[in-house]
Amino acid sequence: MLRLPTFEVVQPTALEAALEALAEPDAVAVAGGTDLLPNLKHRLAYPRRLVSLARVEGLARAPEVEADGTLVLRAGATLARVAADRRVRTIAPSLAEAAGRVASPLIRNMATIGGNVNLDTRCRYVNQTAFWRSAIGGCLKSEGQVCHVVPKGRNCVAALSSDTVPVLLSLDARLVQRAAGGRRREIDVASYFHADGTAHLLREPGEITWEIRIPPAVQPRRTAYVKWSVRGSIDFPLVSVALRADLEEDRDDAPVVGWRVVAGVLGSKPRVVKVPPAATGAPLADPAVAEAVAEAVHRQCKPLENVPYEAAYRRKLARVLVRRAVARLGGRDTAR
Amino acid sequence: MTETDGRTLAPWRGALRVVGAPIDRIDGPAKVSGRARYTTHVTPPGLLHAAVARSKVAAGTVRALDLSGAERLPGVRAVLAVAVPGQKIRFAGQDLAAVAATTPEIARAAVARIEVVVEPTPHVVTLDGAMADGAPRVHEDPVQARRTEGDDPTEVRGGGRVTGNVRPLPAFEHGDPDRAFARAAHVHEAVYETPVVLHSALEPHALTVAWDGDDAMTVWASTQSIFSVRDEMASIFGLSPERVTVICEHMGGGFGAKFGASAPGSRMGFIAGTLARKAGAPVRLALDRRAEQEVTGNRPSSRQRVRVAADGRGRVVALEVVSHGTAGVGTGAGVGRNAAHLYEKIPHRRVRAHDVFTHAGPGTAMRAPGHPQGAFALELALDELAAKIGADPLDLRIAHDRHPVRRREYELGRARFRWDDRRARARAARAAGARVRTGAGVAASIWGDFGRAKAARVTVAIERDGSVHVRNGVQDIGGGIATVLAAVVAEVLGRPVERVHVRYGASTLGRSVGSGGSQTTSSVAPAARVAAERARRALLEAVAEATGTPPGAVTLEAGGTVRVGPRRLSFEDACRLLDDDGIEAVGQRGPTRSDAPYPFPGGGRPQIGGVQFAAVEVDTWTGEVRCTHLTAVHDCGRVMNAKAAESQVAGGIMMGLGFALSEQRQVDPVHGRVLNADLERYKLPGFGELPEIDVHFVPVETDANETGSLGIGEPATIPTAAAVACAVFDALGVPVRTLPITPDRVLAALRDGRAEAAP
Ligand SMILES: Cc1cc2nc3c(=O)[nH]c(=O)nc-3n(C[C@H](O)[C@H](O)[C@H](O)COP(=O)(O)OP(=O)(O)OC[C@H]3O[C@@H](n4cnc5c(N)ncnc54)[C@H](O)[C@@H]3O)c2cc1C
Ligand code: SF4
Repeated sequence: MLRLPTFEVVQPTALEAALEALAEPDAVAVAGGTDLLPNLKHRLAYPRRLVSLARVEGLARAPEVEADGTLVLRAGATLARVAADRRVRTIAPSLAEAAGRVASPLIRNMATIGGNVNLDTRCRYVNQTAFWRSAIGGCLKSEGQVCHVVPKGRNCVAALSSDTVPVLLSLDARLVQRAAGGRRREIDVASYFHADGTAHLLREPGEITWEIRIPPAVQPRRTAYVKWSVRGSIDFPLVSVALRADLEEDRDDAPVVGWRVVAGVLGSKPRVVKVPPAATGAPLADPAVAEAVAEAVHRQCKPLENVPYEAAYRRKLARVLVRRAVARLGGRDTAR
Repeated sequence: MTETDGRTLAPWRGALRVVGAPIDRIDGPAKVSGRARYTTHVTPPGLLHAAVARSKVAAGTVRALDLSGAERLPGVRAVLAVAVPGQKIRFAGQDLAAVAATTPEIARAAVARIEVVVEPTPHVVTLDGAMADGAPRVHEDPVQARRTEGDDPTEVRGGGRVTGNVRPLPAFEHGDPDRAFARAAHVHEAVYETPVVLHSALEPHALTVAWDGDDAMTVWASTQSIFSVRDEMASIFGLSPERVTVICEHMGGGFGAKFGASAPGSRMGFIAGTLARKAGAPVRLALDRRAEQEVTGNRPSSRQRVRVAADGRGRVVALEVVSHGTAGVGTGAGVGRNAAHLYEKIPHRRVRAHDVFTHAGPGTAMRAPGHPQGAFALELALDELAAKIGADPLDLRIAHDRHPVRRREYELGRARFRWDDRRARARAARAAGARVRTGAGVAASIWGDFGRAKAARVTVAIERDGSVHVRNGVQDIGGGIATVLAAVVAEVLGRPVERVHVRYGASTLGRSVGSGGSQTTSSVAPAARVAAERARRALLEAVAEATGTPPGAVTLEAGGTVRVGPRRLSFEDACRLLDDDGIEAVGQRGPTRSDAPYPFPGGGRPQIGGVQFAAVEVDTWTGEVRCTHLTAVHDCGRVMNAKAAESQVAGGIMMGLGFALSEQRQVDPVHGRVLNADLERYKLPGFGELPEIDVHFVPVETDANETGSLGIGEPATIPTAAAVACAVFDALGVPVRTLPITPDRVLAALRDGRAEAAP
């Protein structure tokens, strides 16, 4: 077994105590630990102190719907719970689907939605044992000075690999962030990420994600999450696209009035795909609609050689899978 | 059958009360509740933790070792040089030195301070590279084949003269293949490849050694063979085997890689025992996942050139397989019995296999050594020939098989699987050029009954309080032998299974067999029946004596009631009549008495059959293959526990699916290291990858042994990958001749095969 480095663990129950502990230098938050602990075993960080969020009061509260229809998820809710929750399944089915496809059932019982939003970026050259990395001298995100994906690049382009982030973005979700001293801010998920794989979260020091807020739909809509991974049982996404089609009316065959399409697993931040007018005005079942959305994804999403499987294959796969997902939303059989 | 006290033990006939029913495993509650103690849970007082310094290069010569850095580290209690200057390094991961320390962390830190100078020499890790002219020689001296209880004991041994890195294995020839090929109307010839795959047991190799004075030790081991650990430790340290106690209560998987005190590529027993002696404290050596995947054995690769020919009337007349494969520095890259003996009605057959040495960890037995590879190439080649001559693959197989049970299995499977329907649907989807195709394939298994006489001594005891106890030193590696022993004894004594207590997993409990070759049940269960029958008779005699009844008038009725003349006593009341010692009877299995229903090649033992039908869905756009349904029709003599037998088959299928679709060891040719020596990149299938599995057993009554039980662990995995590959061929109309069948290979086959006519 790979073993953990040594560190101290604190397990506060009060939010303020947790935030104060996190304000100390070298302290890192741990929720389910399913991302952080493997990374520590791989010696990608040596925090002095882990602040467990597992016992923080209120952080794991069940999803709720506020009076105006906003769906509120607390960051400590497990992915298993998010995936199974009746409210989430009704209001944000693509989010339930994405949460339910993370890793494996055992991991989803530990993993939290907050940890998934704050998941570190991934790369085939970095998510390796320290021994493995030593053979190539590390890279910008570990012990080295170069990038093996973009050899002349100055920037790390490790892949945003969270299944839920593209979906949350497609649903215009907002994050409530909290820090010591009563500091609290609310931001769009879209503005929480930037294109640097070594530090892709625009997170302020000592800050944690407290709540994820999904505003009510202003328009009838259909949503889907497209994921491809090597195995269905377990494995990170290699193709990841969240789809939201806004409809004129709440009927499957109503014309589409707008799209929100967001792709993950490209570079370090999610990409919002610009969908052309050809994809609107007709119902989802119209093959031209599916084709237009798939084409836009194919043109604008250029995977890099940062995760397994050739970039060219993943790019084609995205086109095929998006076309099928749109057709399925429109009730078309895609097996022919 | 065995004589028990002068009387012949008649074979069981017909249905039984307990044996053969679906029985919950007796170790189940301990396992699901976390109470089960596995090897690494055993922590004797003062336990030290070992770590091993391993070679980072794949080839070279050890020039110097400096252990002083490790020795100086606080917490280190013993340091050991395993390699010596001048020694050759032949694979990355080879043992160099070892330490024992108070914590695993200190042991690892100490290993990092060991300095070993290895002068690297050129290495070669690929088949082509090793066979090329001027390739670096892996072995300078003649090679001794390492065999374990995991290998087929009837296999012809030895090998031919080594040229370069190539060592021919004993060849098989029947008839005159050259003449037959020259005259045949249709010949199909192609090359089929399978990768090196890894056992990947969830529990790694682990061993804890505690010395008891200078001449005795206790060893806790994760092992498939308690007695081979005992004998190897005794021989390494010059001890009497009686003074070595080996314990393995629960096992987290072995699949062929866990025989003896050493792992195939690491001298674990020597290291742990020596460190424990030096430190004067117990030492645990448990491998990490990298070492587990790199040095503890693997299933060798194969590249098989298959030629198969038919005459003008659709009869297959000749078959030839010439294979090269690598077991790294080890031997045993054969391709099993399939091509030689499965289709005996093919009159002319030839198999020539070769070991090709490379600078990689040694191969070893892995669940039916050679057979899954052999099955894949043979069965897919046969289907390609069938397509050429317009034959139905299932009919073709039945027409060339002599085994009566396997022929019946094919017919049963045809109906259960709806073969004709599925083939017709596949044809229609192919003709329509559907995006998602479906396909159906079938393949067979050949295995022998390797159950052994007198290899296990089972004790059955009946106490005065009416309790029944079974003792034997066998390890339960997950197959469920402990539950089978309970069932067999419960059957004979008319007791419920839960009232029979089984003690197993320790060398002190009586000699037993290693769990390899699918021989555990057919070696140990018969001994248990013999012992139980003796105990039963002793009980009845004791009751007769105590009650002054003539011996013939005391009988045991179903349900455990003892009839004494006109009276009936409960089992407990009858046992109260025993004296303080109760009853203790020992049983052993007799020799194999029958080769019914059909002999294994070489004769003298039954041949085990089994066929599997796979249905797949192939996405022609993405190249993804999904196995959607698998019908498995098997035989293993009398089924001892329906639940365990079915679960063995399901496990074999799961393993076969990994071999078919996702698993392959990848070695970096530049560094000679395994690149995916973990369970993230090495893609074992999970439950999400499993098809709907339909397992059916054909009951076979054989008098081969006292319980009529044969093996199932290995037959269960032989045909799976072959059947899946045949189904993919059916779906696409073009074959994918390399395992695993990954999306890129499917897309490449479609691209390259477009010009070829679909069958
Ligand atoms: C085998 C395997 C497969 C996986 N497959 C997938 C997959 O398919 N898809 C996927 O998306 N993920 C996958 N993961 C990653 C991981 O399991 C999930 O992303 C999970 O949701 C992380 O949540 P956690 O609570 O375990 O996070 P942790 O490991 O506890 O934390 C992850 C990071 O987030 C930070 N963090 C945690 N909570 C908060 C908070 N409330 N506020 C601010 N920062 C916080 C931590 O400091 C840490 O940096 C996989 C992991 C493994 C081991
Ligand atoms: S993208 Fe480049 S810098 Fe970033 S992790 Fe990968 S190799 Fe390292």
